[in-house]
Amino acid sequence: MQKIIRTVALAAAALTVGSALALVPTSAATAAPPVSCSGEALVEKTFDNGTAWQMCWRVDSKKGLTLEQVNVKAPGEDSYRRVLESAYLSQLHVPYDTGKNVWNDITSYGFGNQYLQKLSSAECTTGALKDVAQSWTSTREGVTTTRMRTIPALCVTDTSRDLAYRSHEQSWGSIDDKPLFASSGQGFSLQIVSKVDWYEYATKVEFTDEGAITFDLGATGDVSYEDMDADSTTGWPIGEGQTAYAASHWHNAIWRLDFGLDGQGNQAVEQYDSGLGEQGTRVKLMHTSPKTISNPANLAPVNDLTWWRVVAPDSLNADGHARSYEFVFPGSQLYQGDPVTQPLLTFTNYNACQEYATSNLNPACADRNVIQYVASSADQALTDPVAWVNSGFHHVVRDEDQSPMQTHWQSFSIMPRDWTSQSMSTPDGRSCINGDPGGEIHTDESPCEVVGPEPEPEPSTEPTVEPSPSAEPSSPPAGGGEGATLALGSTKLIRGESFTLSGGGFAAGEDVAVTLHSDPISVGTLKADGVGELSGTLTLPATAPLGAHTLRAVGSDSGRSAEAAVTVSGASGAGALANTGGTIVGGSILGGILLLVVGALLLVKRRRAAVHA
Amino acid sequence: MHFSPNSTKRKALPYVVVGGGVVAAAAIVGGFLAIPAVSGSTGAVASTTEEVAVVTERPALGAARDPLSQDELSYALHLATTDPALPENITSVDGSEAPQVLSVDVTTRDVDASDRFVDVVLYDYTSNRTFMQAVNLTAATVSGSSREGVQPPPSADEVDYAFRVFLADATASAGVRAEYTSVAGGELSSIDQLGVSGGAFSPDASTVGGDVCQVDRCVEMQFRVPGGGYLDTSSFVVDLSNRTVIGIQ
Ligand SMILES: [Cu+2]
Repeated sequence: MQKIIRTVALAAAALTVGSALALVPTSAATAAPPVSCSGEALVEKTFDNGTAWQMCWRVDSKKGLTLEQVNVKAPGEDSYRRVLESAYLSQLHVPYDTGKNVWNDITSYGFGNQYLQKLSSAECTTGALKDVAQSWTSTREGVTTTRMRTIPALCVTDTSRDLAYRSHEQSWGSIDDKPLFASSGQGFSLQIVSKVDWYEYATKVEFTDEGAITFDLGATGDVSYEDMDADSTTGWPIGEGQTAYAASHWHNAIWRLDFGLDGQGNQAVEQYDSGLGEQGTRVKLMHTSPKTISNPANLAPVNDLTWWRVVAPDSLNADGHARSYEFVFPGSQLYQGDPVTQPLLTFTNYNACQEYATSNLNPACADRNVIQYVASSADQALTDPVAWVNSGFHHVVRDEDQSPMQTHWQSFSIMPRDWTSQSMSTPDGRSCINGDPGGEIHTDESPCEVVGPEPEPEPSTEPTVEPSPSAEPSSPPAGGGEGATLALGSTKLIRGESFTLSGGGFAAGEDVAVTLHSDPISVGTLKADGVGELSGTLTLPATAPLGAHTLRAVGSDSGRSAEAAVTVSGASGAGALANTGGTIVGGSILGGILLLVVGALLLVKRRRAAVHA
Repeated sequence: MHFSPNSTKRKALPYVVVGGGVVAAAAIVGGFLAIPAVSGSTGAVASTTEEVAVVTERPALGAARDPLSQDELSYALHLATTDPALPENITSVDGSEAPQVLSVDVTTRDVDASDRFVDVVLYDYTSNRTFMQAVNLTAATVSGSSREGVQPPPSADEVDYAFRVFLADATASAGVRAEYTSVAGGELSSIDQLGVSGGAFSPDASTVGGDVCQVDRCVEMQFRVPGGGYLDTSSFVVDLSNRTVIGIQ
């Protein structure tokens, strides 16, 4: 879809005509993407790590569970960013290996309305059930009547996963827990069940606190009663002996994902392949390189190393890397008997009338399926990608699949790549690790959120064989303070310009160090007054990275800390751009400026290392 | 009951089940379909089924992506079905002079549009065309498109009608009726005795028969006896455009 941001970009370009620099808005935390639903239709969820999701859901009469305006907010950012315009199942294509049947469950039956199943609380034990309307319109003798009712049909459930991450530092010969960074992860899922003839299908989409989205189709119910007449190559004997061969068949779930990464008008699709190259000192080198998918295309993997991502080249994270989402397939089987299911992925430009992967039901389109969509647009530049994702499963029936069939799941995920400069779950104690740490960061000795004067001298520089019974906390100090507060005159900070801040809850008379995170940059130090309150003006370093960050104040004696989310934008000399944020790309000066920034960051790190030495 | 004269419907059917060629339309009892019982878990609470009042003035509108209220759905139906761009001789499944309503959904297109758009999908049994009426509830306008050979899922109303056509064809339904009697006892005389799924049928390379369904609106059905098994419905579809039962393989 066309994005307003495009206009802004043009305006920005116009402003800088005559300059060697092109200013492009980072879209950092400026305009929140719209979310046009309310009440029960709006799902908003904030996880413990600060990651938040919001989206609108509905159950379409044919597409079933439909998610729209899917937006994510990374920890420390003060605004959501769009990930997907919409996502839904655009076909469920079920050919039988006996050649006798092929079903199109979405376009011939539909996953909503009368085929949507009522769920009981026993089917949603840890979640919340949401009501969905069903309607019936009948016409007899020219009189049309409509009836409606609601049934509880959507289950929204919190999910968790152990071992989201683990990183343990341990001295040689010691069993002490020195810093142990370990956490379980959080998520939530939305699920409906639709019954189409013998099968019952669960459509489930799960969102995690690390920004990933997983799309699942679960099939249960009963195997087809009409298809027990296969033979030993087209089916599998179920029941006693070899009398009934249940026909093998496919569940080709083709999802439609309309990407809208960070609201950008310009998005690209890249395919990555890896190959062995020249001999290295010990083994051969392996080279992984991208190929831009420049036009709408049907894509199949070259081998099991092929992967793809959708990237927004003009949306950069705090490290200057383009934000993207990549596809992760735990295994998708591709039915070769029909051209529409031969691709693993089909990419087209957004076209409003292309609503279904096959047997398109929108009469405004002459093209009916993904193959035709690509054929009629093959000369377009691919900039507004819709992904048609074939999550296929070849079902060779087992004895265990008899009534009720064990649910078999087929899934794929999209996972952020460089959406944030670090993982959305990075603990404070690891927040200073960004890029090559150069061996100068010692998180075991001083959790790296503590910057400035060291409150706590390290007991020893030598590894000790004896476990030290005291001193070492078994987990890093909590990032949040005991009642310390921090307030800013404005959360929009400008490089090189001063800003006011105030706070309280610190120890009387202590120094309070103020740093910008996640890659810590010292902003300055203020002294708390006799009652632990704080007020003053500091100047943001001109080298502060652009975008959304966290400003943290830490008391040097008390260790109490408080933080505030801020947005850093460029110099106010950029005029109108100052309040939308801007980043510098292209131009001959770019390299020099980047070097300056990198150099400044290295200096900061060296200074910190010197403090701890 | 009367049917509009309809010159577009084909009468020559290569695979008509013997004896099922012309269904006596009068044998198909009219009246409103029974709303199927709630399908799914017992114990969960469904609302009562309410008849939706006719709404011809714009009601209070929800947010653009919200599900439809009863009033919004009714108003969308009103705008879509009274659109002067629809053919004057439009007919529904029972041949009466009204469009057949297939579905009403909030559109999934242009998700950031601020106006409230609803897709009302209609079928015209006269021209055998599907009409998608994109209704803008905010502006009270309709933008329609139509095509032959696009066959959305049958509405419950059409499945109900297809079942009646099937049952009224004594020859075509003999096998299913006998199977029902042996499984459940008694006579199969109403759709209420079965669990029924109905899907749009389009012939493809794997089907023998039913070529007429490239253009006609055809429905295939699956029947389950509550508490029992499925009945074999694999050998026929109902051609609703012709109100006949067609044998397929
Ligand atoms: Cu299966």
